[in-house]
Amino acid sequence: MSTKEQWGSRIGVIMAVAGSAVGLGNFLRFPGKAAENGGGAFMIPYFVALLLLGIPLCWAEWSMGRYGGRKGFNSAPGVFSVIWRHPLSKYLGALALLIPLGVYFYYIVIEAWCLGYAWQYAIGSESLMNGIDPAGYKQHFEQYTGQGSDGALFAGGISQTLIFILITFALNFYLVYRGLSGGIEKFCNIAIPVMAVCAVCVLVRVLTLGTPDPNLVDQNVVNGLGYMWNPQPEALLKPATWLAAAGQIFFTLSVGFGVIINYASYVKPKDDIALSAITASSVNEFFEVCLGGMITLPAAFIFIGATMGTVVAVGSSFSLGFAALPNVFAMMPGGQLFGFLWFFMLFLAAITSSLSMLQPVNAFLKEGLGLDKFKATALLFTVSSVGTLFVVYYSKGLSALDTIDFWAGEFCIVILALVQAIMYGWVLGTARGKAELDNGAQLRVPNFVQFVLKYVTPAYLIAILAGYLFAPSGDGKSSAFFERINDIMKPDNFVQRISILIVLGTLVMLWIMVYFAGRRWEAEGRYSKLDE
Amino acid sequence: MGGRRPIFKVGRVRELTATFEFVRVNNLGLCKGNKMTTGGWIFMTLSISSVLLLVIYTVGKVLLTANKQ
Repeated sequence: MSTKEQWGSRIGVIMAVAGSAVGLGNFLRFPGKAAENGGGAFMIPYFVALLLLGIPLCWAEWSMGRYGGRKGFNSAPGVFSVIWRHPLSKYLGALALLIPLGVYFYYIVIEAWCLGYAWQYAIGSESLMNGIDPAGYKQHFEQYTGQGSDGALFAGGISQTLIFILITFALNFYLVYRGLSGGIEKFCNIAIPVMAVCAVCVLVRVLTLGTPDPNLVDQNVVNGLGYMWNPQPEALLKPATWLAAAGQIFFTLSVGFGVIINYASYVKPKDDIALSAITASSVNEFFEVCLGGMITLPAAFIFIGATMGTVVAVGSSFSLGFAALPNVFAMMPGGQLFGFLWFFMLFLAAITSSLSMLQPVNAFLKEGLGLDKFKATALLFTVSSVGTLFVVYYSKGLSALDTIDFWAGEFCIVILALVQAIMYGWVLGTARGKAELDNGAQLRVPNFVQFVLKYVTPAYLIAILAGYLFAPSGDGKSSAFFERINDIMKPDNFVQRISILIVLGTLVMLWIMVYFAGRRWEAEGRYSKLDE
Repeated sequence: MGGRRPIFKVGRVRELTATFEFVRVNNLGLCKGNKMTTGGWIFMTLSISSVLLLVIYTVGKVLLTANKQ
């Protein structure tokens, strides 16, 4: 009989949840969304969504997780099955395993790129310190990620990219194998402060850039901030702005991801979760608004503006971020150091997230299939290796990565969040949910939050889901969802079809495991013990 | 100018670079000058200070109550 895992400290669990939430999107997605949707005015719907959607959903997930943990379950299938005593519930819980595992397949690859770029800045690689050369940096990135053809990273021996993927893979599994407290918690306790220090260093550098090119006096740091923050109040009248703000809050807090419910299940029954949940969310907001909102756009404004003609020539592929950033650092005084700090910070943001993707599945393999620590980690390693190998091999145009990202990392998240909101508000019930939240609470949660969770949050999520399904996107004719469906049907999109099969195959595999886990739990009498 | 074409495609990974895409396609406007306005200062200050207050309050409360757990 294995001893039940627990967090070592409350600060540890807060750091781990915050580490899971803080990711690349805080620095690269948020500023773009804000600038596109009304600048400073975007912050009004953003904060409304934080209060009505983000924080209430976090509280709901923490409550359900700790509730399930008290009943002896750490994985979402188990937690769902004690909240809703119906055979289907644990299969719904499998979504909370599919999302982190599916996202891990490709996220680890992006994480390795960040580490690889940090390494190249550390050693002063000419590939990234070659002056203003957008086309060169783009070409370097495409070669580095093997976008030229499928299997490019395996041609001509082991590439540096593969080495960094192996390193990040090994580091992730080493930390997960060390356990919740000894691995993930200890690492996050160090990584989050280091990440903050790196980000503050880059922030100070950006804010002290002044006007780098005296010939372009308008391209200075104050106007860069203006580009990010100048309000356009008319944007508030557009539903798309409110939807974008809700989407940003939703993704940034990692709600509906299957992680919080697992992490919260390890919190001791009498410990606070109300304050911990809002603290983890506020740390994430600090990284997003105070750091992400102050660094990326001002820096890009100052420098990319200066090279407009050449940057335009780079094109609009998804790789532009990795191609554009080196230009910014190449023109920035001390660019090598700040380039290293930036990509190392992104690597830390990524690894604290990827660790949280492995833990829910690891927990399920242990409690669902009865595997010991070594066997569970080995099985998880095997499954995730296959998925990642697929993404790494089918690297042409990053098609496999992009497809899995949409279905597992975006669409399924909205579905799971909706399931969880209904599970909390209508199955567990707001009365039991509030009692769980108030148990040991060091922060009084207002009563109206329960009303919000029961009615407002599900409605908000249905609106987001409808936006995905029906709101025009891309060519302005079809929705994002149907655009993807149409893409799959095209005869030359073989990799996209296989990528979807990988996601579906993973889901079926998880359902089979859940079936055996359910039988095991029944045989052990775990549910009948709950009735006693 | 004409209508602005959609910039943000679906897919979180693709959006990692959308910030730069956004700057790029709007660059003509930026180069003409985009002065920080009073409204910009107000929204920036209010947003950052409210998040900072939230962080200070919550993290401070966690640290102060750490021994009670």
